[in-house]
Amino acid sequence: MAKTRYIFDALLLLLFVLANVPQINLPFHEWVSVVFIIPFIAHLLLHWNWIKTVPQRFMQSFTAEVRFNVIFDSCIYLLMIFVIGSGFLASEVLLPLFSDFEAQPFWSEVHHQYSNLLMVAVGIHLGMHWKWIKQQTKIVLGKA
Amino acid sequence: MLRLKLLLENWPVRTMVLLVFSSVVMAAFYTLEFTDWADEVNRLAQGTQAAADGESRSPPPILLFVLPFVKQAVFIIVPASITVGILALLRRRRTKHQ
Repeated sequence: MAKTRYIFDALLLLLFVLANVPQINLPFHEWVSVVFIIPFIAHLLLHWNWIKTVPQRFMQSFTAEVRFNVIFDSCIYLLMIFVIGSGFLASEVLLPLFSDFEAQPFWSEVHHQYSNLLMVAVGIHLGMHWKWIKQQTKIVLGKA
Repeated sequence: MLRLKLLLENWPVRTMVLLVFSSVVMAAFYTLEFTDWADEVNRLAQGTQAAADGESRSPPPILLFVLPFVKQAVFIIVPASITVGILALLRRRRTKHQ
């Protein structure tokens, strides 16, 4: 199961990197961002059983490090929703295909600023799970 | 061979729960559009756009392609390295105290 998580997480990271280059091509950025939602949902579904236990175990059996992780992961989830949502509201290519929607500069501004913050948060998230990433990389590459 | 049992088990319901919850969260964020903060940002952005319309400088295409990736590498790798360092220090301290 860890291998499945690893492969989906690698795909998620790859799409995150590709989605974060709107300067290169805006339609590509918007379409990749939509595709990104699929592995993002898969990422949450693959950790569903753990997420379900959080409310029960938060105060009783979690260490301080795991507790910090839970709070940080909740923040990164909210930030991700905000960046994805503001991206839809700032859309210049996708949304106009379906409606006469006119993006407000506010959404474009906050989308840009908070996506920078999201990159830093993803960095911290990767750092928090670095031990697992290193271990799984060795297993997947057959070096363990 | 990928084991997808954990992913596919009851996935429509779980996905629906995630989508509904995320939509509610986004709907709450959407109310920001009606705040003074949004008005201020919209006003400033229009001013910046008017000023930028007069300029036509753009960086060389190769830089336009490379710089976003460099920025991402810095924004992701630096915080990740700092986190790994802090965690290693904390774990070492914890082992020393035990």
